Amino acid sequence: MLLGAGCGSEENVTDPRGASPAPHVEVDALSGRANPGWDLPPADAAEIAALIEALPAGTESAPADDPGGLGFRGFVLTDLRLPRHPEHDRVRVGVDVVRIETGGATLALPDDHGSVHAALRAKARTRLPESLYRAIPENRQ
Amino acid sequence: MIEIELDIFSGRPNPRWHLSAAERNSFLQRALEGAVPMAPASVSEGKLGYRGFLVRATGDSAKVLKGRRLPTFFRVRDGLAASVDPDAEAWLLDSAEPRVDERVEQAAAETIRRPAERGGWAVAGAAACTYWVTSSTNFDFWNADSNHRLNNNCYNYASNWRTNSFAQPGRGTGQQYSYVSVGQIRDAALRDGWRTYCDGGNLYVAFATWLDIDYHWWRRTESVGGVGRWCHKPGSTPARNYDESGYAITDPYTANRGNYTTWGGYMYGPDSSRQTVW
Repeated sequence: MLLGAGCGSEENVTDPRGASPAPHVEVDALSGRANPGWDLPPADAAEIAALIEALPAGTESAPADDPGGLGFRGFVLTDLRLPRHPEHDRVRVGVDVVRIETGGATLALPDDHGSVHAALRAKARTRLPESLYRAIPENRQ
Repeated sequence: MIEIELDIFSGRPNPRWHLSAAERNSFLQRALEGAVPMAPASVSEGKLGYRGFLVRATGDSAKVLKGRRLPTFFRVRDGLAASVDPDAEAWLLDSAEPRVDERVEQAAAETIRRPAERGGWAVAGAAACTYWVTSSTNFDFWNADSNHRLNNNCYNYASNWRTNSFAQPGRGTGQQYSYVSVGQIRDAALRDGWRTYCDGGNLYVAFATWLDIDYHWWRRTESVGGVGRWCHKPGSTPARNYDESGYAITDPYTANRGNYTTWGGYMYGPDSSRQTVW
C-alpha cells in the first residue's frame, strides 16, 4: 500500500486544471442570447496564430470600448498561443484589423487583406446556422 | 403625397383625404422632429369607434421619411406605441376639416381628449400610467465596470436589473423560452411578470427578433428636449441611446434595428426594475 506517496511533495503535485484551456473563438454577434463559439482544433489554432503572427507590427490604440452595435461585431479569440504576445488576454478580429488586448492596453495590427477574418469566417461555415453565417461580412477586396 | 385615413368605422369605409402641400410640409417636419407617435398600422386598440389615424406617404413624401428610416405607412395614436405628442392627433383631426362629416369629427375629438381607461392603452403622465425612466445619456451603471458591461445583456438593461448572468426571458421564473420567436419571447417575458398594458408606475419596453437567431430589447428612458427617448444595450457592448444609423431613438419601431426586423411589440413592467429576471 502506498502511503501518502507524493503527498505534499511538490514535484508530484499535478495541476488540478489539467491541460491548458483550448483556444476558443467566439462569434460576437448577438444581443439577447449568448454568442456562439467553439474550441479551435490544434491545426486551426496553429493556422490562425500563424496568420496573426505574420501581420505587420501594430500600434498602440485606444481600447475598442464599443466594438459595434446590433449584428456581427467580430471574432473574439481566447487562449490562443501567440509567441509574440504571450501575455495577451484576448484577440478581437475585425475585417481589416486585429486587436490584441493585454491588460488595459490594445495593440492594433492592420490586416489589409483580411486574412485572419477570412480564415475564421471559413471555419465558421460549418459551425453556425446558415442565417447567422451569412451575417458575417465577406472581406473587402 | 400623404393620405390620411381616420380609422373610426366598422362597417363603412373610413374617411380619407390628402394633405395639402402646406399641410404635408408641416406634417413631415413634425415627423422628422420625432413629434408624431408612430405605431405599426396593424396594431390598434381593436375597439369600436376612434382608433387613430392611418398615414400613407408616397412619392417625395415617402422619400423624405425613408431618408430618416421612418415608415411610410403607419398609425398615429399617442400612447399606443409611444407617448410622444398628444397634439399630433389633434393636428391631423384639424386637417380633416371640411373633408369629414362634422359628427364623425366630433366623435373622434371626444376620444382624443379623453384619457384611456385603466387597464387599456394609456397615455404617459396620466394617473393610470406613468413610466419609470433612467437617464438617456448617463450609462455608467452599465458601462463603467467591464464586468457589468460584459455580463449584462439587452434584457438586463430593459429590466433595469443588473444580474451579471446575461439574463434570459423566462429563466428567472422557471421556464426559459424554447427557441427564438416573437411568441416564445413574449410568453417568457409574461412569465417574468411583464404585461401588455400599463397600470401605475411601469418600465416601458419593446422587443424584436432576428429570424430564429436572437432577440433584442429596448427601454423607454428620460425625455430629452421634451421628446421621449429609448435606449438599449446590444449584448456585451455598452448601453447607448442611438440606433444602427447613429440616430437618437424616439421609438424602437421606427428606429434602425439592424437585423432585428421582426417586431415583437411593447410591454410594461411593474415597478422600476423587473427583479424576477435572471
